[in-house]
Amino acid sequence: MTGEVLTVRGATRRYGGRMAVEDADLTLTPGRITALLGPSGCGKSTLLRQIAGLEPVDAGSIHLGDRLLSEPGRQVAPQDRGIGLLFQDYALFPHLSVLDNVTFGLRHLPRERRRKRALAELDRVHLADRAAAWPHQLSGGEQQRVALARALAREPGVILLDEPFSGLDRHLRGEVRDHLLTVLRTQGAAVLVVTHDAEDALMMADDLALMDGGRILQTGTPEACYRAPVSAVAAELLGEIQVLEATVVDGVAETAFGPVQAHGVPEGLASVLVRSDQLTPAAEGVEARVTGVRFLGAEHQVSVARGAARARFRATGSPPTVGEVITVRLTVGREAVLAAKR
Amino acid sequence: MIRRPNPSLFVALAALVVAACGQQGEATDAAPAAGEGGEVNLYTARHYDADLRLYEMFEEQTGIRINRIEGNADQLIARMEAEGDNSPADVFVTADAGAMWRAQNAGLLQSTSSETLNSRIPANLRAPGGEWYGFSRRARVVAYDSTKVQPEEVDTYEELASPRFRGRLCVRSGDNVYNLSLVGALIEAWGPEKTQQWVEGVVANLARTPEGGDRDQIRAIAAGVCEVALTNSYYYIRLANGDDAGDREVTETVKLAFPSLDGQGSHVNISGGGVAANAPNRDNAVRLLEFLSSPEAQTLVSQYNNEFPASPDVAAPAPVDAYADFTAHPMSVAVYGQNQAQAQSMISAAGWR
Amino acid sequence: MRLLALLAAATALLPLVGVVIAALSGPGADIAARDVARYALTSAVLAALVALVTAVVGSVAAWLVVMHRFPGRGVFAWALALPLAAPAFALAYAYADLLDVAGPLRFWMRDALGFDLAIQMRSVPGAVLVLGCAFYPYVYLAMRAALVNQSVSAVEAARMLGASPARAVWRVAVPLARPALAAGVALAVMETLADYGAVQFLAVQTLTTGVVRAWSVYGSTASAAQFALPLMATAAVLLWLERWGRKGRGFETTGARWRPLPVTDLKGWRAALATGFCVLLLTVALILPMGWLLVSSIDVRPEWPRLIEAGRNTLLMGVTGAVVTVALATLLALGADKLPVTARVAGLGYATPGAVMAIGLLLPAGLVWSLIPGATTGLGAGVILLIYAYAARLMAAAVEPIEAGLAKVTPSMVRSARALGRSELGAAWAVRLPLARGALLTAGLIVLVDVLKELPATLILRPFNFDTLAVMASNYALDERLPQAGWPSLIIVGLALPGVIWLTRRVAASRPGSDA
Repeated sequence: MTGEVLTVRGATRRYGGRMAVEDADLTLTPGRITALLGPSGCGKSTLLRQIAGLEPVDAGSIHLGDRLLSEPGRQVAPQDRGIGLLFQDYALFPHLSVLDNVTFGLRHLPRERRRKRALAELDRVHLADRAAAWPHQLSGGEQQRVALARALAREPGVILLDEPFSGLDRHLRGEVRDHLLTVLRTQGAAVLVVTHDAEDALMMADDLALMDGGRILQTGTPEACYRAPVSAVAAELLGEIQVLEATVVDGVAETAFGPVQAHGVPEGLASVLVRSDQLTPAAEGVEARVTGVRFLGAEHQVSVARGAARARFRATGSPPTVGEVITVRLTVGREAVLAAKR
Repeated sequence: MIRRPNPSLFVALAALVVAACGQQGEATDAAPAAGEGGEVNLYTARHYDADLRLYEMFEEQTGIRINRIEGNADQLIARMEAEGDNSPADVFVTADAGAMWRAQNAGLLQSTSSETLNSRIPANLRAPGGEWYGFSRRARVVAYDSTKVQPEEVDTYEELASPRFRGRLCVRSGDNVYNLSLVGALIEAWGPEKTQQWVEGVVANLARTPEGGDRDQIRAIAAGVCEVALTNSYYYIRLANGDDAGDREVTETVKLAFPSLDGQGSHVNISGGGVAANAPNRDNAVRLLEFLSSPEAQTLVSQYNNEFPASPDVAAPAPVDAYADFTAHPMSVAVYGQNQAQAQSMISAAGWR
Repeated sequence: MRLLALLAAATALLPLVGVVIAALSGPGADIAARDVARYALTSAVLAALVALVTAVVGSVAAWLVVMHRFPGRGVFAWALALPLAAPAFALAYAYADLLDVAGPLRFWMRDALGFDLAIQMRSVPGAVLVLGCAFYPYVYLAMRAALVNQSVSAVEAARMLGASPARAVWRVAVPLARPALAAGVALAVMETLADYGAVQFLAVQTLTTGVVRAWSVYGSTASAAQFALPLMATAAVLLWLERWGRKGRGFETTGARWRPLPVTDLKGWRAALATGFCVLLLTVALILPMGWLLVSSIDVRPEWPRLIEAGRNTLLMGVTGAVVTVALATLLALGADKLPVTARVAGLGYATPGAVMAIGLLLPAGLVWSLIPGATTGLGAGVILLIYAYAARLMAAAVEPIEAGLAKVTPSMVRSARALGRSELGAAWAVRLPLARGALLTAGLIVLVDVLKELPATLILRPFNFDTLAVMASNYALDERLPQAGWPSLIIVGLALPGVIWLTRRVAASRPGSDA
């Protein structure tokens, strides 16, 4: 474990005229898991491949500690970077047994140590008994664990995971994710998880980076990104969002559902980004008419209208009835108010 | 991307089939209608351009249309056997007496008692029963390097097997029909024991593993690979009178000798033909054979293919005339076929590839 | 469906049954066991050497063209498959003439350079050169398809696990391409065993020689057929090997995302070496021999009327043969999941030497001839018989690509068609065949190109007055008139070229997500 920080500065990748990655900054810290979240085609896999050394950078640089890994026209070969990569399709070698897959990367060790090391690694992912099996005899989850063991066996200082759960059934994901987290945590490496699934990202990440259209929109803790999105697009990545129109006057944004503190926001039109738990029934607030109620199991989704404005929130306990007028209050703060772009 | 099922491809393919069949039908219709003389079906193992001219002449003279299938003699025999009683074959033509004998032996030929044929073709160049007739002769003789070999050194077949030519002889492969017929003739003349020794002597004299055709053996002499070679006469004549300047140059040093078998003359083989056993157009078949035996036909074959005419009365045209005054062995060519299997066994046993 | 497939299989199998019957029909000729052993050894050595040459040359060519960028790459990508258009016998004519001890090249060398290369074209090495040139495109095309469709992530994974590019290729890319290599080499070896024209001309005594000798000297079709049995057994093993190559241990990668292949730019001497290799290969396999045929034919006035007629016949037979063969092969492929063994065995004709196939074909032909009185004379019947012969002989070549094409249609697509009210045949017609359209065209072109070059079956079964270009070339060559043989050979190449070019373009476009 090198324990060095991986730094991406202004990484850029063009395909013809299209910018796949544009001026991306990212820092991966040893012992921490960073999730790179974005919709498919946003450039997150390209960025991951640039870090792995499988794609060049057209501008910017990538360093591991003081060591330069990539800059335009120069790059350290993938095999010399000490970075592990878990491929989306696992990329197990179909012509090698499970054990041979894991020992593939251990050429620097003597034969017997290689074998021991691989078996220990397989044991860590609970697959020591399948060492002699062929990859196609394994289930999807088992294949992933072999691929993980294979990548970790080299004890890389940085581990990259490309959409680690996309090939798995919904009900398997939680279990696999927990297991993966446990294994990764004990490794102490800097980890980057690339995913398009907000729940996966939030569950795994110590640090979160949001990406769209080739650009990194926001980095920070999951909490900060969730509560203080830099844009509607960034907010949308982490879950359902409602955009309320507002007018800022004297440091207060007036929306149809009440005022929001907007200190320092320029006067004029603005947007207020509201998650479904940030509008609640309250004793004090504004009155709104209930236009719909949907049963969601543990809670209800309530739609309300106030004049032409509409909003939704989640209600626990007994729901209001359609047509009833209730009092609601916005619980968002200054961080949810975005000045309108000119 | 998944395309909409498109039947057009299949329609197009079907159309092609139909068009092809249609065209086929037209071809049949458009072919020149059988002349007033009807038609004759020819199975021939000869495939020389001169033959096509012959067929044209025959069609013009008689109004009988010739339908032909060309092929390897043995495949034609196999095909005639498979066709059985329904075989449309009228005339079977090959360029080897042995193949004629095999067709006769398989019961595929019938005898023809044509006075014209019997009078034109010498008895030793036809089957005793009239099942087939030879129309042209080729001698299997010796080409030699005139700068190193005297003509007297190659005036018998025995000399080819003598130690004089150790490592100096070129010859094509042992399973070639021309060699088989030659060895068959030697068996007839000398008996098996002496022939076996001769074959072994030839193998011992080989300058190289047999490769190529007769023409290649002649050219190998010019290239200095060997000094003497066995060849059919017309290959040499063709080189000497061909369009290729290099080939003509070859024949300035390489000369042709006509060795004698027991002092009776050189070994000759025939191109010949016979009437098929189930010939549907028997009369036309006989007319075709008679035409092939005519002086003008023999002259034409000789001229274009450089073979010798079969009839003693027909004078060889240029350029063959320069070589035509050799003595041919009077042995009946009918024996070659009978001896071929024995010849092959000897050749294989001696390791003549 | 099963019935139709069985029918198609029976079509292909009948000649093989004919061979077996012929083999059992009489005592063998007296052919020395020593000779038989020698023929068999020569066949084995020839097949092994051709396998080696085609494997190395074809793989290197494919690897260069797919994985690297160097001057001329775009042209070489399709040009390297062009030798497929040249009949092996034409290559044999050209090289035997060109490199003969008394040929122009060696005369010139002796005169101008004062030394001689001891090249024996009429030898096993000579045959290896000719057949290697003629058949390496099978390996090239198979390997190119495999490399183009390879899983990039497997190689990348190897790189991420510390493997150098060379080791990644050697340990991962090469083993993954092994099935394609096996398939390509199996085709080359089967063609080698089936070859008649080239080895005959080069006087290399293979088992085919044994067949011909048994037949023509001893007049025994029975012993000729007996020679054929070991060849057919070998063919069966090769077919099985080829299957194994295709199915493998789940070698197909699934669910992978496709990204452009990483292509290495070659610079300087490496680029020169790559370009040089391709130029040399193309020169040796196509330009030199075909050029020499052209040069030696140029003085000969081509007989246009005969050539045109033969060309028309050739093309007609090629197109019709392709359509019929593809139709039968499609039936076979559709039924292959239910009749796997039958479908395999039906491919045996491909590896059976032409001379043997001719014996086998005479059985069904004889049936037709003796049952239908007019069949022996009628042009139509003769043509149909000939087309049948092509179908029987080339079935395997057509079944393979069609099966591969049909495999892309998932069972659920067929099931949904059935659920929408189509019958089994209807579903095949409406869903499976349209999706496999490209594969059908590929199969058709392979058969077309093969028919253009076909010799032995055409020689023995054709109707009256029916020459093809291959027959004309062979007749002239047997008569040692190579300049005259040049024209029909060259026209065959000319006719086959467009088809081959189209075939190679398809391979390039076969990568999922490719725009081409």
